[in-house]
Amino acid sequence: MSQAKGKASQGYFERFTLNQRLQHIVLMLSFSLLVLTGLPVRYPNSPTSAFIINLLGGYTMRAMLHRVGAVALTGLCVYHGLYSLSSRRGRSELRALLPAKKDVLDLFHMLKRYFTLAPTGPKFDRYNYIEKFEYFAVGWGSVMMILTGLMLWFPGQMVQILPMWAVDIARVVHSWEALLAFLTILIWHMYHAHLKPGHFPMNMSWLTGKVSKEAMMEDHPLEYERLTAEGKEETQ
Amino acid sequence: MSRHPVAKTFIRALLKGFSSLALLSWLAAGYGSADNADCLMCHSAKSLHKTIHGQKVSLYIDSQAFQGSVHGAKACVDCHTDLKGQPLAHKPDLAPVQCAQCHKLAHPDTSHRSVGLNQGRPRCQDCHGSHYIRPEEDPRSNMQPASSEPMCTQCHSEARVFDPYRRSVHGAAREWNGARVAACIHCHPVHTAYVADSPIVCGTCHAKEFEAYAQSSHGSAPPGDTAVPTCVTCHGGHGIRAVEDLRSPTSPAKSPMLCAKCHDDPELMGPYRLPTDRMKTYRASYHGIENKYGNMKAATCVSCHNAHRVLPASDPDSSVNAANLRETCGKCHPETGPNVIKGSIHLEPSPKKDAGVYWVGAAYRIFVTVMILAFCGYMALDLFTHRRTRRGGRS
Repeated sequence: MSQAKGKASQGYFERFTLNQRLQHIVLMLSFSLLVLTGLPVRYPNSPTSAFIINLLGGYTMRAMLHRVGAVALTGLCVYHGLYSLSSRRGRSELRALLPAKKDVLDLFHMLKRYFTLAPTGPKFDRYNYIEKFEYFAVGWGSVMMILTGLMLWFPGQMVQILPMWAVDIARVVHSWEALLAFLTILIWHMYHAHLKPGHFPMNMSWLTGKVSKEAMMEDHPLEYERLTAEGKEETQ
Repeated sequence: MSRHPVAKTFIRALLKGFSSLALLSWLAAGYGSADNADCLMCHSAKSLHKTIHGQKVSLYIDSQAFQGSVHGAKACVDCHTDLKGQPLAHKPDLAPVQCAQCHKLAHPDTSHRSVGLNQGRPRCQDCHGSHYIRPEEDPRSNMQPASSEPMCTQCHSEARVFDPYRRSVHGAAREWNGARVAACIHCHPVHTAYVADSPIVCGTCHAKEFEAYAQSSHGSAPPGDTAVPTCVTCHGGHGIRAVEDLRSPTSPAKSPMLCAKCHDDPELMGPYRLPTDRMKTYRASYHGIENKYGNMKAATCVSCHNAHRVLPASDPDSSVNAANLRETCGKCHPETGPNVIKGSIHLEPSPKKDAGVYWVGAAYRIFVTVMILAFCGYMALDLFTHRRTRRGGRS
């Protein structure tokens, strides 16, 4: 496996390359900008919305910044698509992320454990079902937001092809998907990356790209076992 | 020869008496036969005055100016009729001159008639002047539009009228092609109407707007329908500001509220069977949100419905008729395709109208709620398990 090459010194494995970490940072920044400049439009009557819009320098500036964020996110998505399909690293990551039967079994196993029906939790590989779900949720959400966002950006051109009501539905979808994405990041991602016991203040691998041997054995035992079986133990 | 002192005194007295007598007899002759020169014997003295309520009132007549006035050929007594038959040394208080003696009822001043006679109802001469009335076309005439403001403000000095007027587009646009425009009397035709019929009055200058208004639902309402707006309903009266001025009720910053004032009122809209949720649906639209947050380029009511030529969508001439919608949207979105008519502009999502928007929204509401509840439930289970196993570490 290619990630074997990412093995780092001093008891760490390299989980994310610099390229991947930069992709995540661009995603984080563009997503934050889009949420900040977009949610006030979903809640136009909220005083918070008024505060944000004024803070950004008015409505026209809000709209422009939202489009800046949109272009950044779209560019990232195009790049990530090419990266996942054409680079060796990207292809192996995509393979590791593809949902499998094991993920469903893992989820049931975990639920059993939550209800004290299993003594231990499931053993995860490189990506567990939560991470896979989040990855494809971001992918699905981005595609939906980009497509509906384009419809809202160019409504005149849209009604050359599509009926007016399709643009109106696009606005509903854009608005609800935005709320879902925001809440998913706020609740789900914050919990798993930051607030989960043992992770506070955060899982540092998004910045360092590294994961310790201990964490590797804990969170990704199958990947750890596979890497060590291949004789690719990390150095202390 | 020496004169006797007594005789001397007698002669002097006789002479004095004679001259006085002559003067008296002449003065007593009366005005019947007097001409203006007789009057001017006294009234050409600049110091001649009387005192009314402690105030000096000049009785001086500038004979040259009088002769240059429209009444220059008249005799004093033609107007001051109560002097006829009186001695030159006439009684001090003359009756007010009645212009209507000659100017019969050609100009009945109905506009000021509501003011009581003893409450300061203006007389003709208060506006027109008295001795020195100039021809109307004379630039110095009181009847020149430029003179109307100082003339009207003699009585109508209320700040609520004149301060807004002076700041208004009319107060600022004093001249147009060298002529004074939009002075008091342009809009308030004296003698005829106190509050003018605004479309007619405004239309004399704003002909294009009047024509559009006259064709609109507002302008073509039957005469008995007083609920429809006229020019002043939207633009205001004295304080009219430009549409570009964001303080104007007709500016993009305020015009939606202006239209909603009537169109959100179920009582007013009832007789016309018009919907009263237009402001709500506008504010829910992207245009409405942009407008709320100060993007003044965003469409308001009048961008699509027109300001003056407002017509129902069912009218083929209406800017919001399906046949014209593409052109109307095209004012801002020139690329607008023909499918713009397939849907609504004022969205009212319900199972009957705009059903697609309604059902997609309803489905998302359930979907998002279920997702978030699932996330929270999973997190609660995860946290609880961590506490139970006291591992405090990674799951």
